[in-house]
Formats: sequence, structure tokens, C-alpha cells
Amino acid sequence: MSESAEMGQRFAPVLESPLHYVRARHRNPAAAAVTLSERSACILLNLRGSPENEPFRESVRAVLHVELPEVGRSADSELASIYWLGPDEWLAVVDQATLAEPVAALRGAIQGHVSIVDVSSAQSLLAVQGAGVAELLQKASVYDFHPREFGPGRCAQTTFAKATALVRCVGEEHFELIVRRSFIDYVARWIVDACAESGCHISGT
Amino acid sequence: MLQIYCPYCQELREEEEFSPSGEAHIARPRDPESLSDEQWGDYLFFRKNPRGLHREMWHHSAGCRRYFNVERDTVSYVIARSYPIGEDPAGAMVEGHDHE
Repeated sequence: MSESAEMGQRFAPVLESPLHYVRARHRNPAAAAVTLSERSACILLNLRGSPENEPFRESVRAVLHVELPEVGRSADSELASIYWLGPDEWLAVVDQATLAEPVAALRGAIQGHVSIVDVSSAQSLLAVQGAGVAELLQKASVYDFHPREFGPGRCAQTTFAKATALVRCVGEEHFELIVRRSFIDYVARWIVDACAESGCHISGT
Repeated sequence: MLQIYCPYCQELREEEEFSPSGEAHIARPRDPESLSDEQWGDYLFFRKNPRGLHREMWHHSAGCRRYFNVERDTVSYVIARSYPIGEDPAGAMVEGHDHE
């Protein structure tokens, strides 16, 4: 066996969830009020373009079946969820199973001054659900996550513990966090610690 | 702790989400070659330090990651208004205006 083949074998790449290390010690579905899970089979796309650019809006509608949402909101279709990030910036989360090549599909449909970048490996999506989750988020952030202000469909980028996150309210006691990959272990440990009184279960394999 | 209205996110956010970026509306000289060293030095390094209303730039670093301008009173810390980059500030010094 040549030296390089040997090296290749020794360093064979392994797909590992960012929750891998924290999950092993926090598996307790029966006793936990809060469940944390990672949605791994999805593609995250950063879309940039002017909201006045009608062909851009039109092609997003055609490919992802969803309107670009207004300020501070998110929108869903059977193919994708889109989050508002800035006045000319959105994040699309596409289910890999339903649309395997969203970048190619969008690039094929859009002409003009727009940018479509795959950011799947930079960020990951965590779902937090269970009783008292809004209070839990409140401990982590300066943003007001009370249902009065932050109902289903709202999303906001804000500070989260000592990191930052894009937070979306999916429904009552169900939130999504989009966190940078390298901060996920920290954020997960922070959440486990913050719900010590109610217990936290980290699902997945 | 200040609460700053982000003109892009269209809501009041905590100061923790922002970073200050100094005086606003500093236009780069169109023809730097023709400036004297003193004029260039003034452009690069010298800033106003007023007592009272001050126009400054802030960056919503933990939010939408956009720069915008704020009119803030340096004595009382009251923010008169905030407006997007590119908007003309002329005649817009309104004291005590809030965003409710």
C-alpha cells in the first residue's frame, strides 16, 4: 500500500453532527420538558438581490414556491422556508429530499444582479420545543421573544448567549435557531444548562 | 443601555446588538491627489466631538449587519432619530422625537 493511500485510509472523512458530543450525555426523553434536535438534511442558501427586482422575486416564487417575506418575517412552502435577513438579503432552507439541487435550479431561473450562495456547511438549524421555551430563549438573548411580540412566522437575528443566532417562532412553544456550525456545541451546552430545572433531551443519532 | 431603532429591521433593539462606528456623513474627497497633507490629515483623522446633537454611524452587527445613521445627543444620550445610509440629513435635526 502506498503512503498516500494509507494516509487516506487513516483520515477517512466521517460525517459528524455538531451535537455529537453533547448529545451522548443528554438523552432523557421521559424526564425532559425541552427537546433540542438538529435538522441536518437541508440545504441553506443565502439569497441577495433587490426586493424591487421583479424577475428575482418571480424566480424565487417559481423555484421554491414561496414569496420573499417582508421585514422580520419568514415564509414557508412545501419545498422551502425563507427567512428575512436584511433589506436585500434572505436565507432559504431547502429540504434536500424534495429539491436536491436548489442552487442550480435558482441560478438557471434568475438573471441579473443577484447572488445565490450555499451556506449549508457554515450554519445549521436547531429546533427547540417544549414547555417554557420562550422563557428559555429570554435568558439567552436581549430580544423580546414573548408571544405577544414574536408570534408564529416572525424571525429575528440577535445575540444568543455569547454567540449570535437567527431565531424563528414556528408555533406555540416551538422555535428554530440557525447558528453558525462552530458555535452549535456551545449553544447546545448553554441550552442544556439553562433548562436544568425542566430537563433537556437532545434527539437524533 | 441604549435602545436603538434600526431603520432596516424596523424595530427598537438593545445596544448590545450594535457597534458604534463614529461620525457619519464623512465624504471621501473626490480628488485626493490635489489635497494638501493637512486637508488629507483632517479627512482621515479629525472628527467632531460636539456637546449636543451628533450624527453618527452604527452597525447592526448581531442583527441585519447593515450600517445606518443615528442622531444622538451626546449629553442626554437621547436618540432623536435613525435613518438609512444615503438619506439626506438636511434640516432633519428633530429633538425629542421617538419612534413609537
